[in-house]
Amino acid sequence: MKLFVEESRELPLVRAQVTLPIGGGDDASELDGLAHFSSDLLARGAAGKSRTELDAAFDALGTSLGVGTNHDSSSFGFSVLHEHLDAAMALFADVLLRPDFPAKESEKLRRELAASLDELRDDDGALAQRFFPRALYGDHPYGRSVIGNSQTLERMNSELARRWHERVMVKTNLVFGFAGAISAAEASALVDGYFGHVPSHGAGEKALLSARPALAPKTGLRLLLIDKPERTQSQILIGQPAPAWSHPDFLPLSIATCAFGGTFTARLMNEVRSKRGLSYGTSARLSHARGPKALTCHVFPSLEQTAETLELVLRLYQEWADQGLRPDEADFVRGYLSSSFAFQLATPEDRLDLQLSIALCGLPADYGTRYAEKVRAVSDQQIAHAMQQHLRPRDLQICIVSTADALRPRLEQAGLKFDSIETVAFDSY
Amino acid sequence: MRTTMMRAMKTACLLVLLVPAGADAASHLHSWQLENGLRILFIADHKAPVVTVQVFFHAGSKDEPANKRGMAHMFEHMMFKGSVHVRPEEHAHFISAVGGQDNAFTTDDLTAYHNTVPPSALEFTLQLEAERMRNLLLTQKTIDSEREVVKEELRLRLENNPIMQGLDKVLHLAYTVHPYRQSAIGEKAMLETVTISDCQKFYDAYYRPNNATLIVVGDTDEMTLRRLTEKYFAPLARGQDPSRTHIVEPPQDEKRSANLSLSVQLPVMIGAYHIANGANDDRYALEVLQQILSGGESSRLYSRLVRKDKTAVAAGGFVFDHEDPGLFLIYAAYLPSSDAVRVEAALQEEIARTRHYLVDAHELTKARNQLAAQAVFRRERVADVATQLGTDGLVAHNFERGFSGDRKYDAVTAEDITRVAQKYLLDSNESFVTLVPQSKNQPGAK
Repeated sequence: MKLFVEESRELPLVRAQVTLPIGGGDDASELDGLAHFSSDLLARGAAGKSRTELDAAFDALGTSLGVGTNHDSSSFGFSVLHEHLDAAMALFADVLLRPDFPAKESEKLRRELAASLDELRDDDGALAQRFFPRALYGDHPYGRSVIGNSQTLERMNSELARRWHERVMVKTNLVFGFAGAISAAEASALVDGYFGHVPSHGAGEKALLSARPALAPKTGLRLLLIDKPERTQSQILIGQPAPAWSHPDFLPLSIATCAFGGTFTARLMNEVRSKRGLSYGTSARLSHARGPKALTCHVFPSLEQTAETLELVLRLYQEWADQGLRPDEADFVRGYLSSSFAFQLATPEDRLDLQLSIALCGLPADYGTRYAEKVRAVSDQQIAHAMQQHLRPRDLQICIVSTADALRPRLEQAGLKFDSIETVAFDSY
Repeated sequence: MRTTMMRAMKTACLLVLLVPAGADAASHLHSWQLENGLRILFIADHKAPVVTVQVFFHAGSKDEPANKRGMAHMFEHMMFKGSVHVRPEEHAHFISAVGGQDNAFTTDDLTAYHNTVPPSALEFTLQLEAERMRNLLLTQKTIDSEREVVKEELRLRLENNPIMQGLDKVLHLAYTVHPYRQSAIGEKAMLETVTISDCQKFYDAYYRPNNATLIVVGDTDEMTLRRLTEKYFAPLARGQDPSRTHIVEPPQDEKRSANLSLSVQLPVMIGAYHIANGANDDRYALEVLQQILSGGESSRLYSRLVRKDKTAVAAGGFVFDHEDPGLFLIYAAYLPSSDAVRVEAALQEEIARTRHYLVDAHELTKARNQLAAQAVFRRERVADVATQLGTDGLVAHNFERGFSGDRKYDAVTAEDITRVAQKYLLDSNESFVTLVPQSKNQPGAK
């Protein structure tokens, strides 16, 4: 077990969190969504209390249990006034250590998750985000759908969740975090009191912390057109694989990415929105993850201007990769990132989140305290080297949610060439 | 999912619903006014080396001309497009250069500009805000480009978002004459007609120190702020007080319903009841009632529709408060296989319960605990504290309203809740919209 504490007595509020270094990326492919499903099911009946009783108990304390799953981890947590902390911890321990996995709740959850897939399909941005990882990463763990899909959700049941829980809820996997009006001694006593008897599976436990494999490179400009009727606007994601957060090139590349699309006045925003008014927003970002993830650009123009916008963003990407950053751009971003980092640590919860993230992604413990210094120390040469090593403007995955019949002729008319084009129905995944 | 839906509705309406902070913060609130009428609010907060500077203008979409709907929001975009001493986009560039964050939002009642920066950048940020308060430069080129950007925002928030189309329909049903019938995002055709002259008139009428409130919360001190505001804001000329047309929505005397046939995967129904304006004290009881109906998964609507009936996947509601009379909203997202009539009947039964029976003591305590906890959560970030102050000031006409919230919620009784339910949550006062997948649209739908 590990424990992180960010004490701050400014407000009578405590955030308590448990994170497991196991997420949707660790699910077997035929059971996509298992970590998400199992995590959610924990709070639907525990220690003899029904879901209704658990919810009522948390609600009565003015809090609610939050459950989150991503590719690399599963998290459980709540924020509560200090006066209710002990009572909330008792419920928290019931949920995490003594879940009942009621079959009825399992069935309900399966239906709700299927409905949430329907809900997601009403949101074009979320739809693009759903298809993009599968297209970019393929069979890699990051290509999995954290929530699962219609087929794998059919397979979910309480027994699978019980086995997942037995496998992952072991001592060495538990990473505790507390932030706010709590001391390290009080946090430690709470952990010992409520979680001191968590089972240990011995040496085999460490095998669960799987390293993320390298991504198999894909070549060419690959267009995945996600066909949805009656769209007046297109959601476009453009991306390529990028190094893991712990990779030495990550920081120089993050400076380059920020200059390209990380601020309101970055190149993308300037050319796409400010000069041409093609999209309300546009951005480029580098994913922070345990393994190699993605550099992704996002833009959402009108249907009529989709081809023009796509051509522009691809051209800007090529110029960016070919010509690198101007010295003034690099200076600006170094200043921006080193100064703005303080805003990401404004609250005890922010600071706790950072501590947990760097621990789970294998970064040094002093990452947060030395971040500004490290950013300022990145040279123009290191940025250029990282861009040269990693940017692949001719090997990009493009996903567009739009109305295919209306968009295809526009793309052809604009003379855009792709190495492959695949069209899928928006509700096919 | 219910959280996602509620967040989507609130965000897309550009409406800020903040729960009040505590009395300790109120005791540290300092306010004063410059001779030109600019009101200044300040709270020192040294939790982090951060200070937020927010300027609220009492000018929202209800103040724009009736044939230029969306102009207030479009004008908000123009405020980033350059002034006499600052080139287009440079305001944002300067704020980024010091590691800060800036943005703006427009609601039906107000427009707010916010910057959060390190304390060392406070003076420059105040200088930037004073600059664009009276020195804005409007050009045809920037108006044309921002018009396109705003149209894209409209496509994003409304045209391609079925829930927002449902909410838009509810607003048009509930309000027959009041400007709230049109959300701040506006109408595309009207946006096409906005000219430089329109923008200049709007700017000159509303963007004056005597129609603005400057709010600063964070790691600085009052003496510094007084000195800097005198230096940068005091020289700005006071304008005429804006003339406002007060349009009164006639009372609704019968239920209004509509079906909206859309390409939607998950059907949704939204109900809206007229309530009093934001300054009315009934709002406290309505917020406690809203918490009982939809605060947490043990709330009445969730328990009934999702848990017991198993017809819906999400159900809840929120208080859509405004400077003029607002709305109490309820919603349910239901399975396509569910019977819509049954879902609506369950919603109505739960509302009827609040009219006919007192809520029990446990529910009341739970709601108060939830509101008290939320009040503390909202005090974590200086930007949230400032936004709450500004919104309360312009919507409830009481900048300190939030600070007395804890006591007001504690004073709400079960009888108060029944009283407001009987006063506002009446069938004859409701507008109701059902979003149905196109293939499932019922014949005879309105």
